[in-house]
Amino acid sequence: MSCCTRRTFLGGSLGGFFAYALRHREEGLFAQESTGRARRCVVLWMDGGPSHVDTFDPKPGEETGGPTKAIETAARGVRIAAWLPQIARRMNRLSIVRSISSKEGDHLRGQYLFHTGYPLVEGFARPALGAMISKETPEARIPKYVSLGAAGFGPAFLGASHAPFSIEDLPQALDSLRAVGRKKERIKFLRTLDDDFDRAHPAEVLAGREEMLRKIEELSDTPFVRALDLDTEPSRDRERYGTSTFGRRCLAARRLLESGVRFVEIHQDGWDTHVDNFAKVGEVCGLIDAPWAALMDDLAAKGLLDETIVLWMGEFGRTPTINARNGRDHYPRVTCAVLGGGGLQGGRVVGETDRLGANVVKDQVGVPDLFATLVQAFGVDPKRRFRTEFGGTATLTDNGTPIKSLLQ
Amino acid sequence: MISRTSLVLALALCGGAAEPGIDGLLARKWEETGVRPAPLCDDAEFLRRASLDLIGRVPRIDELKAFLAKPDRAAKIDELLASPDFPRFWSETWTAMLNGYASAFNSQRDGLRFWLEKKFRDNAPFDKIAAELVAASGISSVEGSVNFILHNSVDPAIKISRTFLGIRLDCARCHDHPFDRWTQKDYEEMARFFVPLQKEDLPAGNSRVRDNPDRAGGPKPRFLTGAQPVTSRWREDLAYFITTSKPFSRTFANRLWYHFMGRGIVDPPDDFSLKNKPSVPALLDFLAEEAVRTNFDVRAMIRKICASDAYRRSSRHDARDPRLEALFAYRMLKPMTPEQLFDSLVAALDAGEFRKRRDSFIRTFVGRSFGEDFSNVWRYRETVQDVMTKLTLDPKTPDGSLDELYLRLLSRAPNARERDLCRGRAPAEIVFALANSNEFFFNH
Repeated sequence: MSCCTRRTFLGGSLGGFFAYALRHREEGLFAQESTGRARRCVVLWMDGGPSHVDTFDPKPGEETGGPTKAIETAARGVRIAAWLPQIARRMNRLSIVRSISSKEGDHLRGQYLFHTGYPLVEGFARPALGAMISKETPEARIPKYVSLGAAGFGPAFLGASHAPFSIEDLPQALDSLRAVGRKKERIKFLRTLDDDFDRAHPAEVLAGREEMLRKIEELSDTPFVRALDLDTEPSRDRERYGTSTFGRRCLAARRLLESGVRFVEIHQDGWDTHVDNFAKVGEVCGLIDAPWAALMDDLAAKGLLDETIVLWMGEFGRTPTINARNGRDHYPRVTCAVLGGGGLQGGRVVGETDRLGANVVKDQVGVPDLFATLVQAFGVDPKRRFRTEFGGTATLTDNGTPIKSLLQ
Repeated sequence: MISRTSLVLALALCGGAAEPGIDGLLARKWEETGVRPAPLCDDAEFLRRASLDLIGRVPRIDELKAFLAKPDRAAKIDELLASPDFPRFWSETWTAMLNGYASAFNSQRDGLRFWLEKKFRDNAPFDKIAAELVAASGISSVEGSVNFILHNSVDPAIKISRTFLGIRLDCARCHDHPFDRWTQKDYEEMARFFVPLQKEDLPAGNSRVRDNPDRAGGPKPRFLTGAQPVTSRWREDLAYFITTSKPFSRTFANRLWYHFMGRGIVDPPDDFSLKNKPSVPALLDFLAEEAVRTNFDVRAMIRKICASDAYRRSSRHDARDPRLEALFAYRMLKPMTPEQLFDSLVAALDAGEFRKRRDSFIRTFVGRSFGEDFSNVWRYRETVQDVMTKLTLDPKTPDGSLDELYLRLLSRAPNARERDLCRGRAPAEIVFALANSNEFFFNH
């Protein structure tokens, strides 16, 4: 299937396409100069706050470097921790941002910041990145924003239609999708019975709910449900992802992205290494290295990597100082993220930290800058303003500035 | 139709009361604007909406039959207000409004809810409730009210202004409000009331909230009216300024109206601004004055609203017309909250044995994705996944004829078309369809 056919197919109905075209014309969504190629995004969410100095900014030989070793990678001059040998061989496709700095040292607040681009203020909710991308991509018959392994962050003022489809447990989700599929006839009956009430109440909410019922009725026949059935993947390909939960989520993510999903977040915890940091980091890196590499390879082989951003991040870095329990504590002052695909440059390093990884010494950026880079890669103007539910307008990215060296 | 409206107006104006009241004021507005209101709903519809609005569930079939045999609406409202489910349900919606469903900063949602439940049970005056919430100090597990400030402690001024004054200072946090009178200075001076606020983590997930007088050294805060605290207990002064201000009584009255009508006279109900004026100003003034006159007596206000014809307008209408909605010419649809949905399913299907699952049901349908703002509880928030999950629940099928199933779930008998469609269907299919229908899910 050629790229064009696939996209037309996934774009949904013709009506949806026209609505999309019109919307873009009205809002001037794509800035003239924009070269955004990204159409999809997968976030590997490292819950707990991954240690930057034991992953993508290693400091071997320094007094706080610990036993973590550094290895050469496919990107010349870029060294990463030896815990990630397979990713090291693919660093030509991935860039590291070593200079993200924030003020949020609490898990919840850090997670909120890295999911929405804004600090948390109770009662003033901001949309998650996945919801923004759902909003900015064409209408579809299937959920566009999927969260694997966690409930996911919400759409706030972008509206419930951009909420995450949360799959906390893959087999269970597949079961319930199939159960709904078996109820197709009953759902049709229910919609017929709804007719009288709907006619007497020409309200938008009812039209919206009917539309959801219709989508659900059809969902079992879409590639979305088939994508979640990992047993249909050839066993040789399945093996490359391994049998770990993270591996299965990566495989499901690839299949979901192929089926037309626009944004997938994969959850992996285990990074809150206050105790016994090195053994734990080694263990989690061992879990993510091969599946992440397989995901990169498959997206590239299928021609999807060029329009799919792969982003690895967590809520903060960790202290260079090693504590009394051989652990590292929360350290938002230096946080790193790794990203590539979707037309972004690979093999580069943005920013630099000092000898111990305690301070950013070059090209400091904030989370809004990271977000601005991402939306720009999607061809969306980071300065575009949205109306929030509280009357004012706000940019999607808290006035971030795109990181130029990743976009050129 | 005009002549009927005039008649209503005439009756309202020359009746015993000097005040025209809710219906008289609406009739006057309709007269002026040439609006034709929807007819009144029938007794079964009345009972369904009153039960959902006051005790948070649809009527059981025995309650429905009893009411239709003796449809005394005022007595029914009294009965519902006296039910223990009234303070329970109202504390649930108010907790959602104040703290959402997630818990931030060790705030104990249940503690706040139990505290509110007691206040509603005792019919505490609402200005006292609000003042206690604004000024609360103490330990989260001991003093339930403190969990509101604790949850909203990042920027309490924003949430408090929005909830109790209907004023959105959100924009003014960063710059002067683009289309309202509030400036960044107003916000900063309001926010200063909370400078002494200090929270400490205590063991076992508890927190202590108090004002530290050492932090009250800087410039004095200033309320939006210009008032400044006279004591060093700034939050107490603020609570007093808020609850004696005009925006407070107007916001309270508007909130109650929103709860019952599904639309505020100012809508959304937390956005009073120069650009968002009341749709029926005289009605808002009247209700706000009533609130003050009754000393913020929640039950008295509810009785007043529920006794009006306005509360009994049918939800049926020919075409969507925002102008008619703003003038309350027909009843708005309100989606059920997860609490209402669960309790309604249990009541309709005699499924008391599922009661244990209530908390997990609510968590499922709120989810963390909606750990967001629930200031406007009737906003439609269902996601595809919510609907899908509901469709996978297999509701219990009670015994009974088709008529009985309809009475249980929709509080009415089926019409000819529905009888036709249901012919030959198993009861389980019919229950599935009705329990997931729009007519069931929306309060109409």
